[in-house]
Amino acid sequence: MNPTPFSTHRSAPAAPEGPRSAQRFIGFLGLFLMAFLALPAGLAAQSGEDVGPERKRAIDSLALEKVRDLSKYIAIVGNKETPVSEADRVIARTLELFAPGSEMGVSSINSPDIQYYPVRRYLERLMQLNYDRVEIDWYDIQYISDLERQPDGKYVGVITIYQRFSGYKQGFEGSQLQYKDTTKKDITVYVERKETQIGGRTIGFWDVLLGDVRVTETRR
Amino acid sequence: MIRKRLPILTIQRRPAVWLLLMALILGAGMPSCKSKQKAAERERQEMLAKQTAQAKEDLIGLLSDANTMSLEEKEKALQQIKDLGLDDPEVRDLIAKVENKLAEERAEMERAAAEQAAEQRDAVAKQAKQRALNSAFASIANASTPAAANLKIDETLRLFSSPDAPVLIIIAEVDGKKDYDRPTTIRKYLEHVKDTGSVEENLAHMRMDDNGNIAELELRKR
Repeated sequence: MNPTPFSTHRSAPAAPEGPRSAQRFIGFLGLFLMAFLALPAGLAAQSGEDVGPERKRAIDSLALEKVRDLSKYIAIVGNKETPVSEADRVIARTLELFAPGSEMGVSSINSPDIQYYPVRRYLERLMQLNYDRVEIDWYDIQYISDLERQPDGKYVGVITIYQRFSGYKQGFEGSQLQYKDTTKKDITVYVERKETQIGGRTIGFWDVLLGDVRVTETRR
Repeated sequence: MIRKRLPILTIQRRPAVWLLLMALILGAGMPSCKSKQKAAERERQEMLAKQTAQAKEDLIGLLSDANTMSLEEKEKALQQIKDLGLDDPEVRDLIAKVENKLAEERAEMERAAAEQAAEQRDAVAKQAKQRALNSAFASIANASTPAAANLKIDETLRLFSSPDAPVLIIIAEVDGKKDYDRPTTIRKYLEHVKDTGSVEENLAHMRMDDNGNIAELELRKR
């Protein structure tokens, strides 16, 4: 059996061959490191072949915009003044933002547990929260992991947001804050190039879908 | 006193002599008149031949596609040739051909003018629709209540072929290649404007249907 470069190094520590073996080992180690380091660079180059920086920026912005849309939709659904018909319509729009099977994390400052619900269930629960007034505000929406091209051609990234939740109840002295927290949530984002036929033309578009929304931090 | 008779007076008194003289004069004058008539006829024929040749040349010129005269100039030139009343079979044939050609040119010119007028009308109508759309988008985004926004949405949808008219949103255009967001419909787009309270796109292109309604809308991200 022919020895591998490493087995040669391990099995031939003899003094006369020492310097040559060491040189060969260093040479092979160099090649290995070059190959190892070149792999991600090669992938980066591959992803760069498809979209230039201008198009990539547009896709990044598009995904951020979808998350901002989600924040608006959640605020509408959570708002107690929103008519049920409007809330139902917005829930339908919200579901269109998500990849099938996606889940939303829910946490509380009163419990260490984090519950995960399918998006529709999460929104329905949000509508039924036992408050007279609910305010939900998302801020600091930004990438924590840039969109990177995967071997299957899809781009995957993670966007983080902070959510400020306030629940009020009507008391003798007017609307009173009952519960308040701030949660940090990570949203996985999938972007895929697709084509469709419109008016007899083939339209190439970027389909942005949101994945699971995971709670990473909950505080008062 | 002797009176001497003058010869002329003698002639006057002799009619025969007088008639002889007249015959001599007429006889001498006749050949000269005939030759003049012939010359005049020859001249007329030559003139006619020249006119005919010129008319043929002009008519062939009017039939040429390389002719740069305006249609009115061509029609005037043809009328001038017709006014000559040339009785030449080839000229008559050429006149008929030129009349046909000019009639076709006139019809084509009128068709093009009608098309241009229609295009101008469409452009004016399109501009009016663009202004109405831009105004509608702003009204929906800034509506004070969902009900007010819904009213404006219903009103705006009447500008379109259908509430499902496709809306394409360009997110980037590099080297003439357009990248789009997921295609949507006009109803969903207007509802998105209502829900988010903002318009993030500009009008890029509208495709109209035969009834002058918007069949497809292309927007561009700001």
